[in-house]
Amino acid sequence: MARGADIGTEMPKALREAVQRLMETGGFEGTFTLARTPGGGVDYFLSTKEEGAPELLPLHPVMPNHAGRLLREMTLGGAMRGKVLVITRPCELRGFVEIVKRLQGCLDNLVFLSVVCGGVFPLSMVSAGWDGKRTEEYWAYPDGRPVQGLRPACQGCTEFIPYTADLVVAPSANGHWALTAGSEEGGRLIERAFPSAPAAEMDPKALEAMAVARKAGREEVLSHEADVKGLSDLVKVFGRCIGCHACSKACPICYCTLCTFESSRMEDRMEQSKGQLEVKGGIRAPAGTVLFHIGRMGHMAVSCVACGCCQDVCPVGIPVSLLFKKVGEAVQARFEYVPGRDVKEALPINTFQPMEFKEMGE
Amino acid sequence: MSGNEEPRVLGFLCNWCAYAGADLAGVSRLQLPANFRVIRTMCSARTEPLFLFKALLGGMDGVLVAGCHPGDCHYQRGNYFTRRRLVMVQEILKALNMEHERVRLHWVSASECSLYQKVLTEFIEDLKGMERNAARDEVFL
Amino acid sequence: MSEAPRGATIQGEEGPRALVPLLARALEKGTSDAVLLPLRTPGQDSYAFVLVKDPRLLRQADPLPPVQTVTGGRALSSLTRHGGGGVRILAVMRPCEARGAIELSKLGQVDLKDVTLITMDCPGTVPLQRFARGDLRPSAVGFADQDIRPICQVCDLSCAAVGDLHLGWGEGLAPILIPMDERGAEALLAMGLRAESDTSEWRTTVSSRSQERRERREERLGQLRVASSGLDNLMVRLDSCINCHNCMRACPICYCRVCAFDIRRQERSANEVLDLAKARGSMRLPMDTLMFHLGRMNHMSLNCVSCGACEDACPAGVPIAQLFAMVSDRTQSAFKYRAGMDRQQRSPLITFLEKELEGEDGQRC
Repeated sequence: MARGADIGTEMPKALREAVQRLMETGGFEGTFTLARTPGGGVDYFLSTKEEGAPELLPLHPVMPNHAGRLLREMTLGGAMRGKVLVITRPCELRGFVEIVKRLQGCLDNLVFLSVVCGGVFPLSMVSAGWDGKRTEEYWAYPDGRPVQGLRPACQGCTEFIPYTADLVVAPSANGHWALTAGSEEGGRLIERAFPSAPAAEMDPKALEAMAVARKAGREEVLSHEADVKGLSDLVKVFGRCIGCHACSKACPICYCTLCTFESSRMEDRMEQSKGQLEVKGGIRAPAGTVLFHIGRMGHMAVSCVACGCCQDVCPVGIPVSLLFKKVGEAVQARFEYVPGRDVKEALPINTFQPMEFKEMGE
Repeated sequence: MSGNEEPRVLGFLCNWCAYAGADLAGVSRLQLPANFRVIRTMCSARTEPLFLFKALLGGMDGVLVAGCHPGDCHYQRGNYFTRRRLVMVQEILKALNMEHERVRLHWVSASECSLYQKVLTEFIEDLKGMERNAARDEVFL
Repeated sequence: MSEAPRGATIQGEEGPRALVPLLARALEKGTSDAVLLPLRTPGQDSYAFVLVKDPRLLRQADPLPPVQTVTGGRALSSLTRHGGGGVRILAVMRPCEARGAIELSKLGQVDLKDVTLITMDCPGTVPLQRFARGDLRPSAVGFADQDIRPICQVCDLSCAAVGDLHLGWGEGLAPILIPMDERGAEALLAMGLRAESDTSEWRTTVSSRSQERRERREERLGQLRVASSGLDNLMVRLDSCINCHNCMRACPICYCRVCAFDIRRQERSANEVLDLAKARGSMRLPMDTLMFHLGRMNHMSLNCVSCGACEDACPAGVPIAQLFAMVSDRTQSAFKYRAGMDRQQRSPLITFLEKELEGEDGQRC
C-alpha cells in the first residue's frame, strides 16, 4: 500500500488544510462534508469549487444526520456522474455499505475519506448552543483519555478504525497526524496532493490506547438502563416511548418508505382490542410500543453499526442505541459478521451454508 | 406453571412436511396436546421474525416453527433461511433475557408423525416448567 | 341566547384527580365500558394513555400530567380509526388534545360515536425533553407556573370547554363538572351527580385568563412574525432543523401513513443534487427542508390545534409549534375557523359559500 503523508499536528486546522489540498488536486466534482450553516450551526453539504460554498468543517464532532442515510437518498436512483470526495466517520461508511448490500445505494464515483474516530457529541448539545469551542481539546483523543459528553454509543465503540475508506486520517507518532491510504485510489490521491510531505503511518500505540479506553467505555454504557433482564425491564425502559419512530427514521439501515409498523397491517381494530381489554383490564394506546422496537431489531440488528443516531433524536432519552448495540453485537457475533466490513460479504440472513447450525431443529 | 394450567402454544407448520406430518399424526390417532394452535404456511421460510415476536408479546407461552429437514425443502432453499432466521431470533431474545426457550425450531417430515407427537409433548412439558408468559398480563406493551 | 350552564361540584381531591373516583364508579356500574386517560408508566418516569377497564388500574391514573407525551387525539385515533366497535369510552384529556380528536373525527380518523370527551382547565405542561432528562420534573403544574412550554404560555384556549363534560378547577375554585351538551348531561346523571351549582365564578376566571393569554399570544406571535419575515429570517429560525420530520409524526393531525414529503426526499437524483450544488456553490443535505415545513403548513394549518407536540418532539430545538401557531392563526381566521372548537363546523377546504372571501374593498382574494 502506498505511503501515508504527514499532515501536521494542529487539529482540526491541519485536517481542513489537507482536505483543501485534496480538493484542489483530486479532480473531484464536489465534496460531501460538514460545513457551517448560515445560522452558525453545522450540517452536511454537497459543496463544489464554485463561489458561495460555506466554511467547510470536515469531521467536526457532530452527526446531525447519518451520512449513509443522506448518500442513500442521493444515490438510490443511480450513481454520481463524477468523482465526489465523501468525508464521513467509520460508522457512517459502514452503514452506507450495508445499505448498498440492500441495493438501496450506489458506491460508484464516491471516494471515501474517513478517520480513526474519536466519536461525536450528541445533537442535544449542539442545539443547546454549543459552538465548537472544545474542538481542539476533542482532537487529543488518541491518547486514550475518554472525551467528556460524547454520545454514549461513541463512548463504547470498538469499531473506530474504518474498513473500506480510500483515505484515513489517523493519529501518527509524536502528536502528528497522517493521511493514510486505504486503497490504490487513496494512494494516488495522496501522491498527487502531498508529493513532498514526510511519510507517516497510523501509530499502533494510539490505536491500543483507544482500544483499551473503548473496551471500558463499552462495559459502562451497556450497564444500567441498557442492561435489560427480561420483559418487565423492557417494558420499563420503553415506558416513556411516545412512538414517534424518530429512531427508525434516523437509522441508516431503516430505508423502507412505508415501514411495516406504520402500515395498516399494524393498526389495531377495536374487535381485537376489546378482547385484550377484557383479559388484561387495560391496554396502552397507541399499542405495540415494545413490538415496534423488538420487531425493528428483527429487521436490522444484523446490520446495526451502533452509530447512535437513534438515541440522539429520541425526544425522551431512551437508551435505544445501547439496546440495539447490545442486540446487534450478539446477532452479528453468532454469524461472525461485521456490518460494513466488506461490500462483497453477503448479509447473514440472505445467505446460508447447507451444513451449518446443526444444533438447530434437531 | 402452576397446577392444571396448560401452556398455550402456537405452531407455524410448513404445508409440505410438518403440516402433513401433523395430519398423519391425527389420522393415526396419536395423542396430541390440546392447547396447541396451528398456522399453516406454504414454507417454513414464510415465518417472519415479526410473527414470533408478536406471538410472544401477545402472550403465547411457546412458539414452534416446524419445517422440512435441510435439503428436503419443497422450494429447495427456504428452510436454510428459516434456520438462520431462528438463530437470529434466539440471539435477540437471549440478549434481552427474554426467555428464548419459548421459541423452538424443529424439522419434521411428512412421514414423521411419531416425531411430531414427541416434539409437541416435550415442548409442552418444558414450557410447563416455566412461569406463564408475563406478557399476557402486561398493560404497557 | 342560551342559559349559562350549571355544573356539579365534586367532593374529594382538588383538581382533576377528583375525577378518578367518578371514573372508577362508571366502570364498576357499567355505565361506561372503558376509560381512556393517562397512567403513570411502569418505570414511574412518564405517563401514557391507557384504555382502562379494570378500575384497579386507576390507582396509577393522573388525568392531567405535568407533561404531554402522546397527545390524546392520537391515542383515541389508534383505538377508533377503524370504528369504535360500540365500546363506550370516557376519554379524559386536555382541551387541545380534545380539539385534536375533534379535528381528527372530521378527517375520518377518530370515531366519536360512543366517546364521551371529558376536558378540564389546563395550566400547561413542561417541555417533554427537559422532563425526560430530569431537569424539570414537577409532579403537577399549577396555574401560576412560569416554566410551561412557550406554546402553552400563549394558549388562549387552555380552558376551552370542548368536551361533552368539562372540569373547572384551580386557584381556590372547587372542582366543578359542567355538562356542555346532551351527552355530557347524560354522563353526569350516570355518575349520580346533578348540575345544580352556579358556574359564574368559573366563567369569570376563565374569561380573564384567556383574555390575558390572547393578548400575550398576539404580542409574541406578532414578534415572531417580524423575526421570521422574509426567506433569510425564516431560514435562521429553521437553521438547526435536520429535516427529520419528527414534528410531523408527533402531530395529531398528520395521519398519512406515508407522508408526501418522505417520498420527495428520495426523488432527487445524485446528479440533480450535484448540478444544484454547482449552480449555488453548495447544497445543504437533506434538501427540501423549507419545502417540507411550508408544505406541511399547507396541508394541516387549518386543523392545527397548537398542542405543541411538534416542538416537544423536535431534537434540534426549532420553535416549530410557535411558527405553526403563527401561521395557523392567520389561515384559520381567514375562514373564521378555530380548529376543534365547533364539531358542526366543516373543515374550511371541504365547504364553500357562493359569495364569500371578498376583501375589504370588494376585491376578491
